[in-house]
Amino acid sequence: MFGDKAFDLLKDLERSSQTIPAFDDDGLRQVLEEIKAIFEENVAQAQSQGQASSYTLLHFRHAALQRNKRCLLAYLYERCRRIKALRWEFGPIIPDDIKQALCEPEIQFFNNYSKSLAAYMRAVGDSQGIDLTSNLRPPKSLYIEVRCIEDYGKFELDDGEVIHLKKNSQHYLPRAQVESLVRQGILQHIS
Amino acid sequence: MNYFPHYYSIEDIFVTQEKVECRVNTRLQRMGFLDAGDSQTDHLEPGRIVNLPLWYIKELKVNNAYFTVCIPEIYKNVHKAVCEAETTHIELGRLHPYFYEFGRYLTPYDSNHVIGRIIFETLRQRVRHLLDISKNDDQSRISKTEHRLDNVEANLHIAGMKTNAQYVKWLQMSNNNICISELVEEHQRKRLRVDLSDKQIESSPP
Repeated sequence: MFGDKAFDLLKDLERSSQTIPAFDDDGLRQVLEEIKAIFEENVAQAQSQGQASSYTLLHFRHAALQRNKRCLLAYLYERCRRIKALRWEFGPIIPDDIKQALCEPEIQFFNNYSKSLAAYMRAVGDSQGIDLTSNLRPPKSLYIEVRCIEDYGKFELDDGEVIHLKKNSQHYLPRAQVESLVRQGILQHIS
Repeated sequence: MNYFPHYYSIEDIFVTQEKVECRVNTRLQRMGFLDAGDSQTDHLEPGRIVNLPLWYIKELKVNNAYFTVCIPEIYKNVHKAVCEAETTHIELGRLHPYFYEFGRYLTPYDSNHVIGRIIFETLRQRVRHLLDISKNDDQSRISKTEHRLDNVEANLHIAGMKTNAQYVKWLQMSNNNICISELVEEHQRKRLRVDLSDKQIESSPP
């Protein structure tokens, strides 16, 4: 039945909740071939018969074409939406195992999105720039107490001080520089 | 929870994938392949019943000459009586996973004009129950199939639990701690699971 393969693509995507599954190159190619085949059948039928005898068949094939197109576009759109979310959650660099699941154009999309976001953040705030990805909740204090969850190694603060982040060590650090590490899961904010 | 069906909405594509029973009204040339039962017919004869996907039906005009849509059982009068009698105990998810959205698509085809009222009344009576379970369920423990809710209700339920959790955290004044982002947490858990399963494969005897 027409439209089933395209729907399978979407089923896989929906099943994997918020993570990005591997780019289904084969599935996409099969759907594109199906679209081409249906279109060619339609063209042949429209050219061979002048009257409206099997109009319903023509209309059905057209509806199937639109359906396949919609499924493919929704698949690509949902993946792009999740890639945009990646930029906000993981920062400007994608972890390797997620990168394997993306195809080349999607990686370029991520880089372009990152660039656009950086340009926007620089332009806002009296041309001095605001980092929109930090301070997602209103800060209550300048310094925060953090505990290290994973071994990270050396971390350099803005004033040059170098801190060793070993597992289970506690530090009292300025909030602005440390927030990204907390969101990555390397440190844990203790109240 | 801001859901409105648009072109790219995956939920809407799932709903329009559902099949509807239709009776053929006129002789349709070369459409025999739509009839799943009889594989040898070339044309569709009037009077046969075929299962057609919703995405095709909704492209045709409501009063078209080719098919008449038969409303599925769950929206007919018998079920209506059951729904009105004990709405909160029915597992809508088991009846049909997209009860409300599907009903919404079928309302123009319904000559008795009952579907609209049925879905409205059912939701109106179940909202109170939804409120109760959202307030008292814990987001980490619940699985999607425990309550067997319809799709719209399940989304409302999740949104309700999230809001409730935020409210409780605000009351405890622990809302200001910077949290690890959800995607990162899920990614770490997945990596841990993969590592553990790798170790199991290595350590298991060949």
